[in-house]
Amino acid sequence: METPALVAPLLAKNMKIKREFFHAAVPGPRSLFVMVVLIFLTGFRPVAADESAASVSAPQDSFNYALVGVARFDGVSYASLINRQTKMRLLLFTDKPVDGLKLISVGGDEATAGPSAIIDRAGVSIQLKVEADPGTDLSVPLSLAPSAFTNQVTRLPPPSSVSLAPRKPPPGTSLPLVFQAVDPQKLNLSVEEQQAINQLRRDFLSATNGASQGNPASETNNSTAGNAVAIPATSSSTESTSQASSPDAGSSLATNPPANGQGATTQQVNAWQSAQAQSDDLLRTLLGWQAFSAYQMALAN
Amino acid sequence: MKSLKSFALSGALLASFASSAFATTQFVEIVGAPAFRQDSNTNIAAYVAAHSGGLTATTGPTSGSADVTSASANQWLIPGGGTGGADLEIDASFTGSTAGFESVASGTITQKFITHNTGSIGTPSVSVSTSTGETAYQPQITLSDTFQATTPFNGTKTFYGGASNTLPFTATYATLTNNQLGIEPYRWVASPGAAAAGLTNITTAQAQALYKNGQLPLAFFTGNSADEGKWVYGLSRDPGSGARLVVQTEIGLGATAKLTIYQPTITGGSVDSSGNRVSGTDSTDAFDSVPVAPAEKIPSTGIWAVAGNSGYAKFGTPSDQLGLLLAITSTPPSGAIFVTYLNIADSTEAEAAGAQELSYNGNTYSLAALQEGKYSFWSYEGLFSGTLSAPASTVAAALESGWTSVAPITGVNVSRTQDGGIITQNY
Repeated sequence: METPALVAPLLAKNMKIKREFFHAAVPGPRSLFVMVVLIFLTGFRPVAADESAASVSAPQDSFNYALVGVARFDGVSYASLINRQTKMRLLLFTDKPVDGLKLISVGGDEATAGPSAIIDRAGVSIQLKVEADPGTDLSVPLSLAPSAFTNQVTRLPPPSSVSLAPRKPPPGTSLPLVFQAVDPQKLNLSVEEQQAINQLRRDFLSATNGASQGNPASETNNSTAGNAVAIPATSSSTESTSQASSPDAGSSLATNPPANGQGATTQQVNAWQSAQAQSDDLLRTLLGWQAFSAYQMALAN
Repeated sequence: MKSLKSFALSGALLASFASSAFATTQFVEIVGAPAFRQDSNTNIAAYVAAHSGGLTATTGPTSGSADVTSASANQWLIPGGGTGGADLEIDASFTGSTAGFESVASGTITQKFITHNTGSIGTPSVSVSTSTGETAYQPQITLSDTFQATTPFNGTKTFYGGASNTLPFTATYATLTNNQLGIEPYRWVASPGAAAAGLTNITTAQAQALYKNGQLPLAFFTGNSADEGKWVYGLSRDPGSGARLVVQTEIGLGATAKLTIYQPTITGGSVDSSGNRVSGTDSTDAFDSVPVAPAEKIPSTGIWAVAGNSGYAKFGTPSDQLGLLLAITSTPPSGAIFVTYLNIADSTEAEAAGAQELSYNGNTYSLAALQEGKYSFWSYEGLFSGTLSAPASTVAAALESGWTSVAPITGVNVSRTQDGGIITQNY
């Protein structure tokens, strides 16, 4: 079984690797935002050379979109485009046509021609290279927003990436299913299901903050945390997740010395077990019985 | 005479000044689940009455207690009931439990309420139009029949909205405080004539297949090969509904599942005593080709739903042909039967108009059956909010402490920790 890469620590430690994971021109705040949104939606693995490039045409003058970011995750490619006129953003998924555009593939690297995407429009393949973000408003224009949403668009706080990787489970406990290594490709998860799983991961981290032995599993590159994805820090999540991934995270545990002789207090073990049961139950509620069983089967296999 | 006019004019100006300077009104906006509206309206009305206030506007056909209780939106006023002696207007709008979470947890997404300062105590406006008499406001409280974690509206999420499914928007939803108030039971109901056709019960497995596929041969329910050529169609509220999430989790499809929902073409019907259109006819659709619910932007959430995954925006409407109540009480094409789920009060209204209750896994709803774990189709009612300040905090605290429910939690001897989750005994 493939062990997905731990993204956020790499992002934090190695800019070069980060650029292999995500290609966006001019990594200023806006590009970073695109990066964070894509990271949040998907998680990443490196964009290797395009393996499915077919015959392509040069960018057409009439093509009204600028490519501002590409990514691949679990076999699915993503490309973020901006309409040059309306400044509206489109997020294309592999094989899911949007507005008559279909993402064929993403690829390239900075050592050669730079990141790019091949997009099909009306049967014509167009190769686009990532451009500098033209600087659109990051939110949906109110004029185009759903009518019931007079103030619906929330501007995200300045983006930053944090790891959603749990600490080592206390002795006698286990990780929730959402943190155990499964092959997402076998599960064929929808975007909604992937978002729900990401939220469960974050909720678990929030519930177990400080309830383990101290070393985040991500720091040990533990494969059981391999599904960790980076997400945009939010007001509600920054505290728990940043503590979980902070090098100083263990310091909070120093104020709660282990009481059971095995590195965790009874209270911490109970908190972990409760949160783990809650997470697994909620995974079943969100995915449904069939998908939940498939998740367990993927784990067993 | 001239001086008298001047005096009168001065008086009018003074009155106007006094009105604008001192007669301020504070507003508490409460959104919630249609399936939870009877309990909610009853408790809010009781709070208002206890503070010498009264109803000022309703979408119900009259200002009578029964109509206000089942209305989809109401407005009350408590003179001097706000902080600092200001008047307090309480607005309640039941657009959907899931939509309520989206609005309150985002803090920025509005819902439609009866326009502020409509009507007055003693002469309330009735039959307020949901299209012309409502205005979008930001709710502070949601009265919901599902857990927030079951909805998509927690954490930071990206959805598609706007005029198609190509317009993504991202919002952050705070975790709300849950104050459990009671239990909301539901019943399965079917079209008039369902029992005569042999459809009297639905199992969890049948319901799961029905809402995943959208339609099933009647033979699945009757075991009669002669029914293989007849069809049962699943109807539902749209994804703004919390009750829909309750159903999805109860039957094991999962909260993130995409359903296949049908929306028959209904004509005719009449308005019942609660002001809702009922008992029409589907004489348009062939029995084996009832249309799926169309792709649309869900009105209460602004999120795009693909064809089949949308549903009815409202339980009941007085004027148009798109209420779920009308569809389930209408005569279907010969060889077709519609099935849906409703709370107890709404299913009672539907049955009064000809719809027929189905037992669930062989069990007929009763409060005793629910209380002992025999009947599992229910969810928790809750008051959800972020950190509130007065007067919203005052209203919320009073509602929590004085709440009455058709199924109070104190009498229920079982519990579950998730919507549709495993039920365990409390003893």
